[in-house]
Order: sequence, then structure tokens, then C-alpha cells
Amino acid sequence: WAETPESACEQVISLCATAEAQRVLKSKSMITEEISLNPALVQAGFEVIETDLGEYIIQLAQEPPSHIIAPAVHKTKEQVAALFYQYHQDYGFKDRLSDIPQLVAQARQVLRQKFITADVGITGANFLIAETGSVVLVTNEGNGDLSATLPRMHIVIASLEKLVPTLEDATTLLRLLGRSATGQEITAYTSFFTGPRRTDDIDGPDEFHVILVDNGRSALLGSAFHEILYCIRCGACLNHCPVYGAIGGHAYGWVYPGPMGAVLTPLLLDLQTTKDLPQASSLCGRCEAVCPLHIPLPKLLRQLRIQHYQHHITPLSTRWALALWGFVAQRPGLYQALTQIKIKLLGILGRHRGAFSYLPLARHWTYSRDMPAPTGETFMHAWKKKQKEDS
Amino acid sequence: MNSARSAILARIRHCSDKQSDVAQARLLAPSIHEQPLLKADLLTQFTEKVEKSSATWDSVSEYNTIPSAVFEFLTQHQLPLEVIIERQLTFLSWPEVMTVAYRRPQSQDSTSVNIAFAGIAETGSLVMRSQPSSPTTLNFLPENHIVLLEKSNIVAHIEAIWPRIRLQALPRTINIITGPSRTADIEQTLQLGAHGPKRVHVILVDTPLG
Repeated sequence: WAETPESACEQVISLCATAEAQRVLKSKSMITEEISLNPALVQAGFEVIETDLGEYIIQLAQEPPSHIIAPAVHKTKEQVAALFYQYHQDYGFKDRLSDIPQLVAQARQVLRQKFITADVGITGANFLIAETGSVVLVTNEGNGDLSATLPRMHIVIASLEKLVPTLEDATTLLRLLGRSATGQEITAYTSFFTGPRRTDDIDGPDEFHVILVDNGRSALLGSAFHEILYCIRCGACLNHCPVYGAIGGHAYGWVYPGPMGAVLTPLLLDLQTTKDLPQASSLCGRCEAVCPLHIPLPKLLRQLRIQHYQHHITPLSTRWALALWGFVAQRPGLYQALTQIKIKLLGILGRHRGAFSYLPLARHWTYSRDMPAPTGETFMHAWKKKQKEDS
Repeated sequence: MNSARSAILARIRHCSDKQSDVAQARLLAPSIHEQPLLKADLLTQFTEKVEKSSATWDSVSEYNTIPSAVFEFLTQHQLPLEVIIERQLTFLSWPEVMTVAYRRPQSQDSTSVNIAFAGIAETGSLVMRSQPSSPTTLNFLPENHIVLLEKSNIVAHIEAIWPRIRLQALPRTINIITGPSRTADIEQTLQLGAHGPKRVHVILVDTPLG
């Protein structure tokens, strides 16, 4: 049990120390990114090797993942070849490779040596099963299984919301996970680990430890943000988000990108330093439409904006503007009169050019584009006129 | 550690007091949610899905013909005539040109042979239980993995294996394997044989082991 990232890291380090470990393997895990386990282990003197190919590539590049399913999706094969050329010299691979099968084969050879000589294997968990005490791990490469089987100690780090009641419940979620994450009905490997090797087994770890990490999740239970705890980290909301598509995963500033990250990051860190995340959305709703767990992500983003307002994180000018707009919008007569004046004025001012390249209070908007001039009539005005004509 | 445990549990109980009965009932009587429809009979669906997962398959009438089916697979792919075999299969007699061993596999071993606990028609998956006679590394270390599956052990959906699994104490590892190891981590291009086997070959057996 660990309430904080620091406590989780300390417990992992002390387990690695009791195993007298030197080389520690890791299978791709978002919770270990969240608690910054790798730097903590390196600082404690352990050699840490990421074994998922994508994670291995970005570990060599010393970058954080840009996608929760495909962490190195931003790297080209030439960039990967350059990294392997730089770091694989010591293993006797002196040539620069050019095609993907060769790169995968070389990574397999380098990492296979690490697998058979490692002391501790650290994995995350896609699900935890209450009924049996099992840990479910999903991979396509088989790196998770080798990490869990070859070293003498297997440490699982999982956040609380991974827990489901039964094997049947996990099965339902596995069906959703494969389809939403990679379009597969099931990944190549779906594995259920329960305890250490049995007395007569001839492989498997002697020790098996599970660290349950809270890091703010139990406080979300029953709160206005409860639904984000349903997230199974499939990445579908990232893949369909126009904002993620335009700015990429690194722009989100922490380990969880995309719509689920824009909701979860402020809740796990703090509202102030992450204040841009809930704002950087048009609330188009594609994330909610594709979420296999039907998490109302736009609603949660809106709730974060409400919290910004309540905690005075929203800038004063915006607060004033919103208050003014709110006052007017609640009075339809006043609203219509004011908009009519404004539209008529803009229509007259813009009638020659047909557009504005500068507008007061909207400098940032007009900085990169022109605002088309209105026709001089509001919708309500035109509607009323038409009604009158028809009658 | 214990203070963290009690603090976390206290917060959870504070919010979900009334739901503990629901959780208890669910644990006692596991319920199955929606399942995909099968388009064909079990065997047809299973073999079609096996092919779709980039694995291959063959069929034999009885266990005694397995060694020749394995030999054929090895020669067809020009593989070394060496196999690591699970210990339940020591009764089989192998062609003299082949080297067979019944042990935990090493990294450089080329081919392994073991028996699946079940096959799943829904996905073309193989269910492997770790046992003293069949260690987990047989499924992952060699580049070629040959899996024997009795036809009567093919079930429709994943859920069908859970009541059978619950009949015995859970093993350390249950692997549900669907095709060879793969990665698409470089430029989203699919490549087989990332860390585990490059080839998975299923041999279906008509007559179950006595």
C-alpha cells in the first residue's frame, strides 16, 4: 500500500535491495511513469531497462512517452536507427540499420541478454482481480511475460482503480481494451499472474509483490470526478482528439496526454500549474463518443473549468467578462438590444473590406486570422422580420 | 505500510459503504456480460481466427502421430531438428534424427512443444497453465512454439474457461496466447517476433489423452 509516489518508490527500492538486485527490468507501465520510478531507481544505483520496444526507444532518447499505447509514435525509423547505432556499439552491433525488421531483430537480441541476466522484473497491471488475487497483464510483444517470469523477483505496481471483482468482469474489460486500444479482438498475450512460482514449478519468480498506489484516487471516489476512475487507459480518446492530433502528447506536460490526461492530470497534480489543460479543448465530444467506458470527458473538463472559476484561477479579466455576459444573457430584451447595436455597428464599420484584421479585446484572435464582418442584422432580428412578412 | 492501508481503506469505505453488499454478491456469483456472436461452428471459427492471428495449424487423429507432424513442421521451415518438450509427453517416440529434451528452455533453444489447457473459438486463442511439467518459458523463449490442443477442449468464449480454471488451485501463470509475438512500435509497422515466438503452430488432436 502506498499513498504517495514517494512511498511507492521507496518500497520498490527496498524490495530491490532485499533481492540484492543490480539489473531491474520494466514492462511498459503508466503508473511507474506517474510516480517517476525510473529516476528513483537509477538514483538508488540500479540499472533499469525498459523492455517494451517503444519504451526502450524513448528511454534511449531520454524522453517521456508521447502516447499511452504507442510511446515512441513520434519517432521515425531513421531516428530509431540513429539511437541504436549510438547505443548498441557496445554489444557488437557496429552497422547503422535502415529497415524495421532489422531494428526489431537487433532490439530483440540486445534485450534478450538483459532478460536472462536480470534480478527483478517490474510490471504494471491492466487489471487486478479481487476474487483470485490475480494480476492481469496485456502485451503484444511478450516483454511483460518475460519480465514477470525470468527474474527471481516480480514486483507489480498498480493503482487502486485497476481492481475488478471477478475473472468474468476482467474478461469484459479485456474485450473493450483490445478493441479500443489497437483494434485487436485480443492482444497476443493476456496473462494472469497469481502468487510466486509454486513449489514444484521449474521457472517463475521466487517472490511476488504487489504495490497498490493511491496517489489521490481514493479522494476522487464519490466526487464530481468519479467517472475518470473508470478509465482503462486504452488511448481511444487520444486517437480521436483534434487537439491531441494537432499538438501531440508531449505538449500536455506530464505522463497522461489527450482528453483523459486533461482531466486526470489536474486532479492528480494541482489545478493551478495545470490550468491550461481543461481550457485547451473545444469540447467537441468525440472523446466521450469513442470511450468504451462512456466516461463523460467533456462534462469533467467543464467541471474543472467551474473549479477554476471557484478557486479564482480564471484570470480577473475573464471573470469580469463572464460575469458581464452572464448578467446580460439572463435578460433577453437587453441581450437582443445590445447585440443588435453591436452587429449593426460592426456591419457599418466593416462594409468596405468585408472583414476586420484587428478588433479591440480580440487581439489574439485576429493576430493570425481575419474576422468576417457581420451583415448588420442579428438572427433574432431577421427571424422576427420574416415572421412579420409571413403573417 | 499498515497506516497507508487503513487510511486508504477508510476513505474508500466512507464513499462506498452501501456498495459492499453488491460487490460481495458479484464475487459469489460471477456474471457474464455481453459476448460476441460466433459466426460458425467452434472448430471452423477457431481455425479461422488462428489464421487471422498469423499462427498456423494442422490436425492429427491421435497423439502417436504428433512426432511426425512436428518433424514435418520443422523441415518445412528448415528449422533445427531439436525440440524442448513438456514432460507430459515423454511417452511419445520421436524420429531418430530429432533431438528432444524435457527441461526448462534456454534462450538459444529454437522450438518448444507443449499442451494447451483450452482453445477459444471467439479469438483463436490458446490457454496455457504453468505447471511443473510445462513451465511458462516454453511459451516465450524459443522462436518457434508448437502447441497441442485436443479438439474437445475448444470452447466458444473466454468466459467458458473460468469455471474449469476454478476447479483446481490457480497456477502461478495463465497465458492466453493469440498468435506470435508482435510489435508496431516503430512507425506503426507490424513486425512479428518482438520478444516472444516468431511462429506459433497449433496441432489439433482428435482423440484425447486417456
